[in-house]
Amino acid sequence: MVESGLQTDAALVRAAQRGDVPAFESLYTRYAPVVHGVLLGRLAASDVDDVVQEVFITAYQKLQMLREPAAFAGWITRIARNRAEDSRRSVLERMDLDWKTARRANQEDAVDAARALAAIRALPCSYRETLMFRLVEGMSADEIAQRTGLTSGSVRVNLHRGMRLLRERLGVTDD
Amino acid sequence: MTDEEHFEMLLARYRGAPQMPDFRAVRQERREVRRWPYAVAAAIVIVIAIGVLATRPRTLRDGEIVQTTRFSTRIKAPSIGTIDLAPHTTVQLVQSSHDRYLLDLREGSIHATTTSPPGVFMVNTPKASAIDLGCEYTLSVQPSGAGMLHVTAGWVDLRYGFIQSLVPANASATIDAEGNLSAPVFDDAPFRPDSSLDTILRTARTKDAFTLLNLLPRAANADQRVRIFDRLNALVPAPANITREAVRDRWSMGTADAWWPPVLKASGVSAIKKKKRYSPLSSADGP
Repeated sequence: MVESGLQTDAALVRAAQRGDVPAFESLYTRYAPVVHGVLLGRLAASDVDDVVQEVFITAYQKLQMLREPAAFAGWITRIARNRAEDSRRSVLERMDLDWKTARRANQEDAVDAARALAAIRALPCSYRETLMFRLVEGMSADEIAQRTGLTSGSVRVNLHRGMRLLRERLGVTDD
Repeated sequence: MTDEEHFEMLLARYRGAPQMPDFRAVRQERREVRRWPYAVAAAIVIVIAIGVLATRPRTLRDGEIVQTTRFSTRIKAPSIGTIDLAPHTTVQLVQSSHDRYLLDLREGSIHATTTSPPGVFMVNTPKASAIDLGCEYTLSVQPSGAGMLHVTAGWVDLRYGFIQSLVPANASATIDAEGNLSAPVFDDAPFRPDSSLDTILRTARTKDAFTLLNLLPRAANADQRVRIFDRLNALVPAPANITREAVRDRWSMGTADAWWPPVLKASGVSAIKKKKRYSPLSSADGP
């Protein structure tokens, strides 16, 4: 269960289930980066913002079905993964579009970013999401642990191994 | 700058900043409350509670009537044994004393397993009486008086007036609405208690000699007695003092007494172990 200020996830969920919209907005602020990171590992970047909104709207509509308020983190992540799976058919075309957009931008950094993103997307799921949270969403290891339910140790291991794989695949050598 | 910091800076361009939806414009779906599991659970609890209450062993007072509905129940009678009433059964305790426990079975079915001395436990039905001789049995009757007795262990003396049917283990006898008692018929017999005389005589096995000997006093006339005698004599030869002519012309309740021991032996039926409480109605009880 994540605590932010005085309010835990469970308290916010219970309040939102009673119709307290600001409570759900707090949950959105807390979990939008997580959902964004999950989706970015599976969908084209251009689609992700829209799908993040769809995921949270779905979550708000179905919030009464969440019987264990403390399980919100796992629940919203599951909705995001399922939603990404539903969109899988069009993903490859859109991802290719990420490359074309980056090349057209004619900026070396943009091309490198697109390469790095593609490399992260190709990693095993546990490394992929952890790296997305860390490198794209800018979350610390402790924040990742709090918002995913993983232990800090697991997060650090995933980060370490994920970074090593990423370096290998991008041909980055230790100088 | 470390690789991690480099990648973080590089990939920051993909960092999400989606606009927060207006959740006030979104309606939450109401949780569907599944009421039927609770209703089913409540119904089960009620049925079990009714069942437990209805099947709780009861001790009856003289004159008390018990009427079961959808559940069986057990009557507590420690000096007698156990008496289970099937669903839709009506009984009245007529008398309970140290030497008599008399039930009036008006309708339905009882299953009795007795430990009392022979002759103490007795059940009256609309047309007959069943006297326990130390045994286990099931007795069923309809409001018309028709019914059936099936004995699982020991013997039961089934009577209607001066008609008597001593029923051993693994055999049944029927009562018709007029009070006529059938001869006892073994469970594995090739005929039923209400089969015709022709069928019985044609199919009877040696074991069924017991049934045939019980049929002799029920024969309607001399001709039937002779036919029964001939078949029985073929299965279990009659003692020398019981002749065809005597059975045909000079029949009395004691005529066939000497035939009982060999018939019981041939039928594999053990004789009643008479105890001091039991007093048979007449000498016709044979065993």
